[in-house]
Amino acid sequence: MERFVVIGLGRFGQSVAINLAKLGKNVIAIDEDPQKVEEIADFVFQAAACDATDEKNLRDLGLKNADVGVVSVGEDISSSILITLTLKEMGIKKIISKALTQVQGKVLIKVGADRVIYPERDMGERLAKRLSSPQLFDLIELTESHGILELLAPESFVGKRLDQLELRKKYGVTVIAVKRNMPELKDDGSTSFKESMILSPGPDFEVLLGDIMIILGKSKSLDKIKKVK
Amino acid sequence: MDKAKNNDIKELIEEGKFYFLNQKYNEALQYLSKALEKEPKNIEVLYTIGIIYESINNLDKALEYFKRVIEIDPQHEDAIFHINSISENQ
Repeated sequence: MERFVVIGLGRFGQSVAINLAKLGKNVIAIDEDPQKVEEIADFVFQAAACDATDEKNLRDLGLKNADVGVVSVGEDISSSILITLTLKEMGIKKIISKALTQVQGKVLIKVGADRVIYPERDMGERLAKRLSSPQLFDLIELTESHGILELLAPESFVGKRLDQLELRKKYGVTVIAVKRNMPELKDDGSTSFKESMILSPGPDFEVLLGDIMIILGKSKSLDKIKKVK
Repeated sequence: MDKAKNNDIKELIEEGKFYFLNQKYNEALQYLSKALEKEPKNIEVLYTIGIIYESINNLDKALEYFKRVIEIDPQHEDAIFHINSISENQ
């Protein structure tokens, strides 16, 4: 069985470790913070609290036999470089390191990372792409508990202002944008429309038939609002 | 008689477009449906109804009307364009 080591258990590292474990992989999860280690201990094969920049600690954990190393120590780029380098020297076959900027990514590749990922940038790109697509998307998960939903305005919302709908009070969600097709008349007298995006609509914003509302909130609240007719 | 009927339809279409441009979609559809009752194969009416349904994201209905347009005029480029763009995104 492939063995994975995930170093750095921030939101990203934690999610990678848990999902790999769910896929039945053998995962060792490491972080300096004992609380983060404790949170994940039940999900993975082994969880350890230690300073991963110290090579001895990594060797003691028997990481030499790991097939894939995921380095996701967050904003501390010097630790990230050091750990990537150490894993490479230990002979780990594949190393995937997280970076925030392209410069960081280049350095990580130089010290031995086989692949660099940019979770923040990738998420931003994904979101932008999906927001600009005419298709409705169901739900983008931002974290395990929160997400963004694209919803065709339910009939009961049409003709009402956002302050009348009280979505924050009733459902705990926020409308972050609305996609609306604006009618227009072409030079030849025929009708057409142009898509427009209204960002952070105010309380007096009136929902119209056909509006696509982009809503941010807890996944559970979004599930509820999806059922509104 | 025919002239009167034509004027009547023209007016209904104008009303329909007016309401559409003012984002009063239901009213626009009402006027255009009346026009369609009088002239079920009027391409301008069918196409405008298709546009209205597409703009309010009722894509199934929009497709239905654009298809009716090309049944009458298979070369109607705008209707073909809308059918393709809706089909691609569905």
